[in-house]
This record gives sequence, C-alpha cells and structure tokens, in this order.
Amino acid sequence: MNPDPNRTAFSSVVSLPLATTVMASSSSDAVILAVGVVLAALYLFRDQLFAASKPKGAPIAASKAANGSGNPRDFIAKMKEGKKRLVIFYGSQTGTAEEYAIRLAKEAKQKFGLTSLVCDPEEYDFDNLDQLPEDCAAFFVMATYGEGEPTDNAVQLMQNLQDDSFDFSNGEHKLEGLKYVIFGLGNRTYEHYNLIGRNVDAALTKMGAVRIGERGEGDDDKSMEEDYLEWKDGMWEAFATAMGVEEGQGGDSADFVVSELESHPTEKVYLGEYSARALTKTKGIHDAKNPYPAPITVARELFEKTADRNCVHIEFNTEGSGITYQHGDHVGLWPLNPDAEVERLLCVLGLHDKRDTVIGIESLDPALAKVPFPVPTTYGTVLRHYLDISAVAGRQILGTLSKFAPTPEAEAYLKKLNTDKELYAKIVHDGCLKLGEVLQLAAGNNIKALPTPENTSAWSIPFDIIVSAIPRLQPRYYSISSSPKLHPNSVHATAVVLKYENQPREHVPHKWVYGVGSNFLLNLKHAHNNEPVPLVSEDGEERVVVPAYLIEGPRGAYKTETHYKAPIHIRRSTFRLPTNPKSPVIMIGPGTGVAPFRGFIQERVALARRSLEKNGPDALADWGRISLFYGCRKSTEDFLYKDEWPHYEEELKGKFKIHTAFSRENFKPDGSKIYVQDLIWEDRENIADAILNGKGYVYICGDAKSMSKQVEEILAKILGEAKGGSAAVEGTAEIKLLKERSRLMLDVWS
Amino acid sequence: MAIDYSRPLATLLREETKKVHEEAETSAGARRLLSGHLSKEDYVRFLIMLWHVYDGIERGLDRHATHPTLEPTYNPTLLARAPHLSADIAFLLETEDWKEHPIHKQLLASDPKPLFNYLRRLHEIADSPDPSPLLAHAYVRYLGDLSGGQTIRHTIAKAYGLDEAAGLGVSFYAFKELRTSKPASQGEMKRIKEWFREGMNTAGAQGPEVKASVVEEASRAFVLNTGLFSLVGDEAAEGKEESKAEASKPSSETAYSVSQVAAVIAAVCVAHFALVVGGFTGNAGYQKLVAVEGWLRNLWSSN
Repeated sequence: MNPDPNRTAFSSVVSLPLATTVMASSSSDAVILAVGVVLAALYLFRDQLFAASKPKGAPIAASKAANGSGNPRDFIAKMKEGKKRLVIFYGSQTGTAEEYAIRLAKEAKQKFGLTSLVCDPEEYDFDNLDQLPEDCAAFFVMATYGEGEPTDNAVQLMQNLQDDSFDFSNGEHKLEGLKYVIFGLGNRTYEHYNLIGRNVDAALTKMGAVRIGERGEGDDDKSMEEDYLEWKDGMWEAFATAMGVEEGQGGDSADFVVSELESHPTEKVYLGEYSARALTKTKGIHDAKNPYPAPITVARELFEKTADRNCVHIEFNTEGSGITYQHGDHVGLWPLNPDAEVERLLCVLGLHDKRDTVIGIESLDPALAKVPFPVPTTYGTVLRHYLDISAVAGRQILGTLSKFAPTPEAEAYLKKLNTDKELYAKIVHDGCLKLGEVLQLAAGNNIKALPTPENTSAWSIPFDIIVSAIPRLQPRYYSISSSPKLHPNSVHATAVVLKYENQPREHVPHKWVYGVGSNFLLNLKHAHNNEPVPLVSEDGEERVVVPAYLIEGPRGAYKTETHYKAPIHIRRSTFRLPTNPKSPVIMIGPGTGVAPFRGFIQERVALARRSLEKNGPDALADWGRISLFYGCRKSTEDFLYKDEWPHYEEELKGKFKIHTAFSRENFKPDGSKIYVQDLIWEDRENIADAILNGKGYVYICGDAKSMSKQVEEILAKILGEAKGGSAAVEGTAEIKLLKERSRLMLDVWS
Repeated sequence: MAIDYSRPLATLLREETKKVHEEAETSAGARRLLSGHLSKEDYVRFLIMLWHVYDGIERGLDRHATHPTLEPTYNPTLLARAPHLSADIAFLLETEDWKEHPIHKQLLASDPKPLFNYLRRLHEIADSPDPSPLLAHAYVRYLGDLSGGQTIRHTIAKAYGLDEAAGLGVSFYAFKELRTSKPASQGEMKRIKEWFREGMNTAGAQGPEVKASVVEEASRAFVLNTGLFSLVGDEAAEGKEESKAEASKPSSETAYSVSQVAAVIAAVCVAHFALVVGGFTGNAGYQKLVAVEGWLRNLWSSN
C-alpha cells in the first residue's frame, strides 16, 4: 500500500500547469496554455464538481483486525503460540531479502533445531519488540532500495526504529539487551550502498540492543551469494555462543512427516504424474508445472553404425496440445531414473517390498519447506520419478545418514567421507558414486551386482530425510532442432547419448556412468523402432549396455498401441534469428551445437519459400549470407544431418553455405587437427564484411569451456584486424558492442 | 520556456518529461496496479492492453531497425516484451489461444479509447517518413519496465500466487543480461538502462530536430500511458479504496510539503487569471468550454 495515498492526487495537480509550459514552449500556442490551465482548475475543483459520483464507503480496514483470537499484528504472541525463539523481519522489494530471510530460518532449524517466525514488517506492530524474551533473538534482513531508501514494506519499521519519540511498551525508546542479527542487501552500482542495513544496525545499537556476530552485507550486483556464505558461518558461531545452543541439536529435526496410508483410492495416488491435471486428465496449458506427454513420431540414430557412440534424433508430436515454440527455444524432457538405480535405493532403504505402499507427506512448516512433488504417492514412485537419485552423492548428506548405518564400520566410513574432503573427492566424486552406491560401499556391498534385498544391507533411514536431502529430479533441456514454420506440430531434439567411465579407486570398481536424460531418449529410440538392445559381456556375464527405464510411464500412460510418449515442455529462449532476412547470419555449432541451427535454417527455408512464391525467383537476391560452421570427427561417422544440408543450400538459392571441419579426416599441413575456429579464420574476409558492413548476427552453440571461448577470440582477432587495429583493443570493443546489441549470442553448456 | 537542445537526449528526456512522467506514475490506475488489489481478470486485461501497445512499438522498431535514430537502441532480443506478455497472458488465462478469450474480445468490443488512441499514434509514426518519435515510445515503456516494473513483479507474484523463481506468469518483468543470456539482476538492469540512454544520446547526436521530436513525443507517450492506466481496474472500486484510506488516515493532510501547497496556490491563481481573462465565466464560458472540449478531442484523435 502506498503509505500516503493522498500525495498522488496532489502531485498530479502540481504537474499540470508545469506540463503546460512545456507544451506551450514547443508549439507556442496560447490556446493550449489556456486549456491546460482550465483543466488544472477543473481538476482542482473536481471534488466539489463530481463529489456526488464518488461513493464514500465505510472503512473496511478496521474489520480485518478483529478476526482471530489474538491481535494478528502481535508477533510476540505468535512466537509464544508456535514456541518460536527467533523472529526474522525482512525488508524486501523484489523478493530477494525475503528469500534470504527464509534461508536463515531454514539454517537455524537445521543447525540448532530452532524455529522462526518469518515476518513481513508491514504486517506487524513493533511497540512490543522490547518484550522479546531473553532466550530469543530478532533477525533483520534489510534491502536498500533505489537511492538509499527502505523498501516499501519496511518504511514503518524504519520510522519506528529511528524516531526517538517512538516508545516501545516499556515507555521508552530503548531495546536494552535485545539480541539481534543483521544482514543487509544492497547494490554497489548505486550510491548509499546498504544504507538501510547500516541504519538499522546503528539504531538498534543506539537503543541498547546487542548485535550477534558481524553485520552481513550482500552485493546484489555481483556477489550476493558469496557475501552471504562468507558471512553466515561466523554469524552462526557467534549465534550459538550468544544463545547458548549447540550445533547438531537440530540436525534431525524433520521438515516433513511421512505417513503410510492404509487405504487410499488408487486413482488419487500419484504414480509419476507431475500435476493434478495429469492425474485427473483435465485439459490445461502445458508448461514446467504440467508437462505434456508428447507422442514420439520419429526416433532415429544420427551416427553411422561404425561409431561407438549414439546420437538420437527425436520428434515429439505436439498437435492439439496447445504447445507452441519458436526456433532457438529449448525443449525440457522429464526423465525418470533407470530401473537399476530405483532397485538399488529401494534395497538400501529396506523398502524393497514396500515400493507400492501409498504414502502421504506433509510439511511441518510450509513457509520453509514445500513438499517438492505431488502426493499421495508411493515409495517406489518417489525414487523413480521425483527425486534425483542418479546424481553423484553430495558430501553434506552423508553425515546425516551415517547415524542410520547398519553397522558401526559403515557409520564410521560414512562419517569419514563426510568430514574428509579429499577422501570424498577421491572416492565419491572421481568414482562417480550415486547415493545408493555410496551407502552400499560403506556397508561392504558389491555395487556391481544387481541389487537385491539379499545382497544389500538395509539402512534405517527415515524417508522424510530422503525427501529433504535429495533434490528433485529436474527436466533435461535440449536446443530444439526444428522450426515451427516447417514443423508447426512437432518439436525435434538432437541429443548425444552421454556415457563415460569413472576413475576406479581403492574399493571403487571401474564402471560406466550414464546420463539420465539422453539414455532415457536412447531407451525410447530402441522401443520406438523395436530395436534389439545391444549386449556386452563383462566379467563373463552378459549385460545390457544401456540402463533400462520404465518408459511405459505411470499406469502405462506413455505407451499406446502405435507409439510411446514422453513428458515435455517448452522453455523460451532469446536465441533467435534477426527478423530481417537481409541481415547476414553467421552460425558456429560443432557437434550437437548444430541443433538449433538446423531450426534456424528451416526458419529461413520457410521464409524463402513464401518470398519466392510471392515475389518470384529473385526474391532472395537482397538476402544476407547465411554461413554455418560445423565440425565433427569424420564425414562418414558423426556428420549430423549430412543429407539435409544440400537441400537447404539449394532452397536458399546459394545464400546458405555450410563450412565443415572433420577433425579426424582432414589435417593441417603440420598434421594437427582442423576445428571450426580454423574455418572461421579462413573465411575472415567474408565474416568481417558481414559483421562490420552488413550489420550481421553471430550465433555460437555448443561447448562453453573451450570452443565458445576460442571462437570469440578468433572473432576478436578478425574484427580487430579488419578495423586496422588489434584483437585486444578494437576486436574486444567490437565483440562487446555486438553482445550489447544482441548481435552475438551464445547458447552454450559445460 | 525555451528548451536547451544542447543537452544530451537522455538528459533532455529525463528533465523535460519529469512532470508528465510523475503524473503517469502516480495516477489512480497506476496505483491500483501497484497495490496488488486488482482482480486477476483486471490484471490480465491490463497485460492484454500492454501486449497491443508493445506489439505496435516493436513492429515499428523492427520495420525501421536500421533508421539512425532507432538503430543504436534496437535490440529486440534484449528488450522485446510482446512475446513475454503473450506468454504471461497465456499462462494466466490457461490458453495459448488467448486472443480468442472473452476477456480479449470484450476488451476490443468495449472500444477502449485510450488504448486505441495509443495504437493509432504508434501506427501513425511507423507509417510516417520519419519514425524517430518511436524512440520516445521505446524509452517510456522499456525504461519504466526496467525500473518500477521490478517492484510490480514482486507485488503481482504475491497477489496472484505466482512462482517467481519459475517465472511463469511474470516473464514480462524479467530481462536477460546485456551481454549474456543469463537473467539480469537489479544492478544489471541499471546497466541496461545506462546502455539504452547512451544509445539515445547517439541517436540525439544527429541534431536538435531529432531531439525535439523525440522529447515532444515522450511527453505524449506519458500522457498516452496515463490514459492506458485509466482503463486499469474499476474506477468505482477505487473510490471506495480512497475513502477507506482517508478514513483510516485522518491526519495525512499534515504531510503535504510547503512546496506542494505553494504550487497548488500558484496553480489556482494562474487558473483564476486564465478563467477571467479568457472569459470562461458564466454562461458564455460554459459554451467556450464545450467548444474547447470538442477541439481537444479532435486534437487527440486526429494527431
């Protein structure tokens, strides 16, 4: 709410006559001046003129406060009621300070088992701040807004703290002995950095309150997160001393309550559906909250059989789903965990025979922790569909879980992994061990054997800890490789199947690591084409090389008579072609980095077809050049969409050219490999001309670490030299300008 | 008062539109929007109107992307809002096909004059031989979105229970970073604004004529926005809102600053002078007022 609603009306009155002078001086028309003045007069007297038309309603605000038993603006009463020892006030305009307030509350609970009341200061009165009991503390998380101002919701709080005539319930402007923690949020690009945080700190100290630890200050421009992390450890240490609490007291205090439900209507149990709409099969928009199970119409291998790798081209049919997309957007694919990993964790948690038991999960403090997936569900579903059990296990969680070890040795080993960073890095990180595998290893189980209740030690880990500690399984994003202008009802994706070896260590055997999303796609490809799944023999045992997934989906919903489906949604991107086809376009996309550019080219092909039809054979004469720089190992092995490019070149009447580098086929005279960077350098004259004279656009897609950096360097060199200067000065300046005009754009991953 | 056109365009714009700017910002409609008390339907209706406005601005900018006044700030990847608005509207109305939704159809059928005036003006500029004034419209909207828009985002997200982290329904308020595709922080938005101002100064360096036409248009753009705000929410409900606020804060009069009071008195004096000198008193005065009203109406619609 505007703190002073009447100010509004008056400032408009003031502005009118002044606005008139501006208008008058520009058109020097006396009539306008007169009109302006008359309008001002009318406006001034509008209340009298139009008084009758304004309904003068009775005040409604007062009735709000009367609800409930106590005074809802009394935070002390609320704290007592909820047995909370901390109150956290946040001054937040855009939500960041509020997020940090919630994080502090979560950490206080995790570390010390202390619960907090997180307060919007606008909703509470402060006159009883002096009544905060001895064993309690107040936190202030205060953002500074604009030119050193408090956020709207903290205006009153600031006034109360700084106004010497404001008395607390003790009848004085004193907060003797009040324990407080302060974290300020500001932005160094503005003057008055963190002024509000500093002012609150000063005001509290002046009133006799005692700060716990140092004042924290975060810079929203650069390093908010690091600033917070750097500050909080010292603060919590001081906090423990000041409050007389010990860390670890609250380690197991639960966020959730998991209850097994005896009888529940099966149709209301989530078995992998992502939304209530999916469960009840009601129509609605499809987005990240409600992905669309899209029928797969095409799934084929793009690499030649001679390659020992896979690259899947997949087409999702979106007809009738309401899903629309643009070239350059990403498709989010919602994978599930492979069967083996689900089995492993079920066995480790002793839930092997309880996989179908229906469970309900409730949050103990919904403000601090939301149940991360829809419920009621089953143990098996949670591990298969909702939690990311396939990721490398985090170090922190191992400490918590050690308490539930089946043997003292397992407990000791897990504790060691938790505390010894180097050992953790060597065993878990380099060994690429998932949580289930770490627990197996700690208990002395063989992680290479197919997990069964017989060969796996069961840990008595409460399920609510699993829900709190393992992050939700996230969708995997792929650059869309089609254009909606050519394929309005289908979304194409291009994905190399991720598979690599771990670093075997003492106790950790050699094993393959499989990407969750791309191997899910590979499963779908096999199933779609009824392809046999390849086998390998390892240690004399025949095993499939690809982890298997439950691709039929929840209740078999993803398998129909004719095809399989997979849940997807679209994520918008800013990676787009210029609207005007006259602008030259340079695209650099080696490997699967070429995916979005297939969409880009299709977009231009569709436009070309229309233009040719409308304006005749010369329609493309003034189009800018479209160059694609592509690289792979061999033209005969992993050249993606090899057969399509010549057609596109033909349709675009010579405006499009693909430049290819085959790193294991053609070599430089000195025998070294040729990469896209080398092709770009070769074509430097055209590139400089397209960018500097043609105001062209440059797009880079693919590996962020080496490729994209090297391409930028070579572009800086080309542009710097073309401008008669150097890469370091003129080239870098030109790259900066290109980026600022969104004429050099990146879609890269690491 | 003569305007000193030797100042950079960004400075000129800031200083010469201060009042109309404030007026738009503090209008009752803007306040309704900021309060978060609009019904979801009213909010969506506002977004739909904005979509039409941005669609008009951005089509014009695309068409004249290489015009020397518009080129320095032409950056649809960074700035274009129409696609985001469309996505937000689709999300809030739960249909991609929102142009067929009753809210949209009823809006257009209700003949919303302030909106149509706005759009007419945008088309006029885009079709004129010199589209320079479009820069003023880009300036008024984009810089507003990069500033106060960020506060609205949080209010809106809270009011309608939207997930700010996921950005669904509030993508209109989100910008990418200037030089990367990462989401922009507050500090980054400030840099974007600085970049935009620099681009405007480059455009203004063409000469005082360009500056004059952009400055003049900016005032008009603010007025058009004030008009758009007048369509936000329900005027009658606002009446209640206001009287409630008055009732609960009886002592708020004391808050008026001396300068505000002085300005009001000055305005009254000038108004009185004009009324008497212009002969706008008595019956004859009423006739003149009617005539001026008609003329004024023509001025807005034909210009």
